[in-house]
Amino acid sequence: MDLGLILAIVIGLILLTIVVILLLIYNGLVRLKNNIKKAWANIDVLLKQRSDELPNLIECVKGYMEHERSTLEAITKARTEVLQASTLSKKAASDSVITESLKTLFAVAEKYPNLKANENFLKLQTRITSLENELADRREFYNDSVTIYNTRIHSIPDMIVARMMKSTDEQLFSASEEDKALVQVSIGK
Amino acid sequence: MFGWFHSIFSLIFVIVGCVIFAAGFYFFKQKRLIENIPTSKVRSLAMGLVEVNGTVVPVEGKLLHSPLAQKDCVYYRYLVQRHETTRDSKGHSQSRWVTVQDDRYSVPFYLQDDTGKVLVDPTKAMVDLVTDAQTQRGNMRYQEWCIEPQNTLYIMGTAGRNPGQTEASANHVENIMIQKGQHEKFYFISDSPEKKLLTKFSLVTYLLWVIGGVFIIIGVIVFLSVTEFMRMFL
Repeated sequence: MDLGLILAIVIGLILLTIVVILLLIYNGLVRLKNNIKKAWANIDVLLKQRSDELPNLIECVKGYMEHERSTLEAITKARTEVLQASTLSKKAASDSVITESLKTLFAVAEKYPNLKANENFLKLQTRITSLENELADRREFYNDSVTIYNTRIHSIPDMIVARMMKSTDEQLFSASEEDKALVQVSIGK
Repeated sequence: MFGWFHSIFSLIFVIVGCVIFAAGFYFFKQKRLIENIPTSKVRSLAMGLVEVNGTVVPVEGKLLHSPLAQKDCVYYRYLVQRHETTRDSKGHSQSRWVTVQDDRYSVPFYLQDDTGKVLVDPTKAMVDLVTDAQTQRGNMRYQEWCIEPQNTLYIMGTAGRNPGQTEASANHVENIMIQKGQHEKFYFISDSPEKKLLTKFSLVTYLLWVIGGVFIIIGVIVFLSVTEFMRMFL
């Protein structure tokens, strides 16, 4: 029996397996990258929906909450910054300002019984709170997708394919300290 | 005659080995898919392939009754098999279980997590469950698998439009139903947690690769032996 031929077939089989695994890894990495893009698009949709509701909310509460002018201004400025942000980090920083300001606004609203009785305000509060909750989940989902991708491209054997694809780490949806400070300064102006 | 028989025998071994080997790749791909998709919360489900965990809540008035375990459920598989013993031409006895009846019934149900509930249509899903009931009477074996209310499930499927929702609801989850996708064919429901599933998929993958590899090697060895044998005598 030709042992050399058997060995060649076994080696060929192993090589074929490796090639197929590498192809599956390549497809997997492409899918992961697309998952990140999709997860980001899903956040962006909600950010826009929330941005559309904020002017209505401010219009609704400004007559009642004269003393909370600074909170309302912070929301308005952060809304503009979210829409204009050029980087993910800046967007995350402005987004976190809106989230915090909205929490303050809804907490302070408890002190205004007339506002609490306003049906339009209640509707907007429910709608914005629901959007905030969905946003929190989708931020978490986006960050999970990014973490899976970043872990994959640094793990063996995915690392081999990732290097061929020149893949680099994707950024998490979180604000850098620098952008946080920048946004705070711009809102505080 | 000897040469032809063994050549065909070896070819069958190689083909079966290749099929088993390819099945290993299928499980490898599914395992990576489960690993690569993070778990979504029900209230923020987006359209497309999603992974969710939660407990089963029946849709009002929609429950099945399983024939063997006599349980109220939203899905059951009822399998009846008969034990048959046959003898081949050389008098060797072979026994095997022959399927007599294999029924699967399901109704849509809700999957609830700590943020909300979403409608699930389990039709055409690959369902992986622990056996709920098993009994044997004579040469007949009866087995049953059920999804009962309050069972904890892992689901990977396509979040698509809920056909029962004619007008868009303000709560966007009500507009969604998890189902088998048109583009994403993977639709999997299990009562095992994700970690256990990944271990199961890994084991199946490696097992299929080893078995497939062994089949291919045996096929090749037999083929080469026959070739050498024939070379000696012809």
